[in-house]
Amino acid sequence: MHTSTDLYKKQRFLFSDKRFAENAGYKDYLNLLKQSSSIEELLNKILSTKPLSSFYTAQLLVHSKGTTQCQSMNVDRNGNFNSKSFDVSHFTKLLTLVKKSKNKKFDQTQIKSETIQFLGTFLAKNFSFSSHDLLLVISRNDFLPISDDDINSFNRLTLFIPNSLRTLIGMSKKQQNENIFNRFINLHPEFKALSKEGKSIITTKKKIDSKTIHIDNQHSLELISLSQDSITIDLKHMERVLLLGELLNTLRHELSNPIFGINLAAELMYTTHNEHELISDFSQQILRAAKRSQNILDNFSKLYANQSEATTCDIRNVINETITLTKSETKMIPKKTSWNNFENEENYFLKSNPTWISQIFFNIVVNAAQALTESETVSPEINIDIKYLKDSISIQVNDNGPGICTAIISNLFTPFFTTKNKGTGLGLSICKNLVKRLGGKLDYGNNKDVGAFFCVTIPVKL
Amino acid sequence: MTKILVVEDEPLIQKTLTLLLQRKGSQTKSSSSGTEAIKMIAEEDFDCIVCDLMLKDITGFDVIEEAKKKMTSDEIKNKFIIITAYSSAQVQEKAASYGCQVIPKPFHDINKVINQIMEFTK
Repeated sequence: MHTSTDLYKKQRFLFSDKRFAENAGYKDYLNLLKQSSSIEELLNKILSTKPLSSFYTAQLLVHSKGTTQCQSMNVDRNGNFNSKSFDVSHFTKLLTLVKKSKNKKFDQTQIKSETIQFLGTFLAKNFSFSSHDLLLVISRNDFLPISDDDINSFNRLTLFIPNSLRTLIGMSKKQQNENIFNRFINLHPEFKALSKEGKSIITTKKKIDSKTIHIDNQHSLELISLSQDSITIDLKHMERVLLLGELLNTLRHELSNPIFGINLAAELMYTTHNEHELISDFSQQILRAAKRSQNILDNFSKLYANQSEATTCDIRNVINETITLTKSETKMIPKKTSWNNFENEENYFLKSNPTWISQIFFNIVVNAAQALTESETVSPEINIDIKYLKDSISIQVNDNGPGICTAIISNLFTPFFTTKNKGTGLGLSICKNLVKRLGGKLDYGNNKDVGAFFCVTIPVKL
Repeated sequence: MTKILVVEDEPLIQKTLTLLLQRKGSQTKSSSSGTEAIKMIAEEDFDCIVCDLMLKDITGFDVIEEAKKKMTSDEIKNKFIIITAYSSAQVQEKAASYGCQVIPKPFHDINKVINQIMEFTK
């Protein structure tokens, strides 16, 4: 009579004498020993074994050592599958409890936490690998006590799964790497390789020139590019935008407080002394000004909140808030917006990156204003036409200045090229880059009658 | 008479909250520093402590930790109300670990908040 440990060690024996093994009732062990293609499959296999047929649910908690999150996946006999992320503190508490317990059986009062998804009595087993800690929990879903037979069967059966688990975890680690890679690729198409400790994990292109940026202890990003200039531009831009986002967040919180104070005090004055006309009138004005200030803060923070993900946004808000941002640069120049072809309310909504759209639009408007000011155009005007084109939205900025001189038109988007006395000459080249990442187009030229136009077309879905 | 302590370093917010709570018939004292508040809590008994998180010297959570030396965890739950502009998930979780309510700033309706605080002290 082979013990289960012998069977586990003598894997070759099992496979070559399959028929014997199956007839002898070791079908369950065989099944578990075979590599599962997913954690969901493995959990279902555990539930489908004969000795564990009275158990209703199976859950696997996975923690990649050194990270602050853990993954949890669970299945039940109804075929439901769930996956969730938790903070590692929940996992650690549970792991300690399981490791300390002698017989690894628990009831709900001991093990209740938001990480365990089910009611009833549980059996748990922990697996410790070099890079991960795992916890397998199965539950009965009723409150019947767990028998010694249950415990023994569970221990025997789970002897067969570590190899399968190792491979599955290895797979999800590769997926983790791919996720990190893809997130950064979306931000910067020039990033072409992800390497860990000097070894390349994923590469898509041969490198021509490169720079390395360290993300965390294990991962670094290799920036590959065709020219030195574009590396510098993108890094500078990325740094500036990240910094801006952080600054705005801090500013928002710091300014919110005194503005709120002004709000409260003005409201108090208004409700206490509304028979006095001057106090009543002015406290109302103060209230309005405080409200407007708070709104501006909220809107700007929203505009620079999501850097890399596509979000649903209302193009009207993006345009109007950005125009407010341009005020200091475009002081005396009237800006008129006209909206064309928007037949339904939903036409105004697109799934894209509002931060990038705002940056592009801001740059173009400020350029137009600066061209008008420098050329001392009489009665300068900036006209902004936004059109709905079903699959995309176009934003055209027209000015009534001298237009773009044909001599410089070919150099317009060259980095560091500028006709201005100040500025970096990077604005339009960054615009071009961002438009590309949005999957859109940037057209420009001189209007038939007067002035220049810049037209950005953005797809409705990024 | 209900005794309330308002710990808030933004002067206008502190003054308005204190005044409105006093108008509701409470005896409300105030402080703009966390360390001063800790002293006041040690020396007197308050029915309710409305405490901002980001104070100039220490945080509202530090004040709670010090208050634990004098109060039971039930008392902490029943006496402290946290007000803050920074109501992230981490803040919510930490407040929940003390069992305390969090009212985010700015308040949309000051009267509602005042009533909420007065109800809390009952």
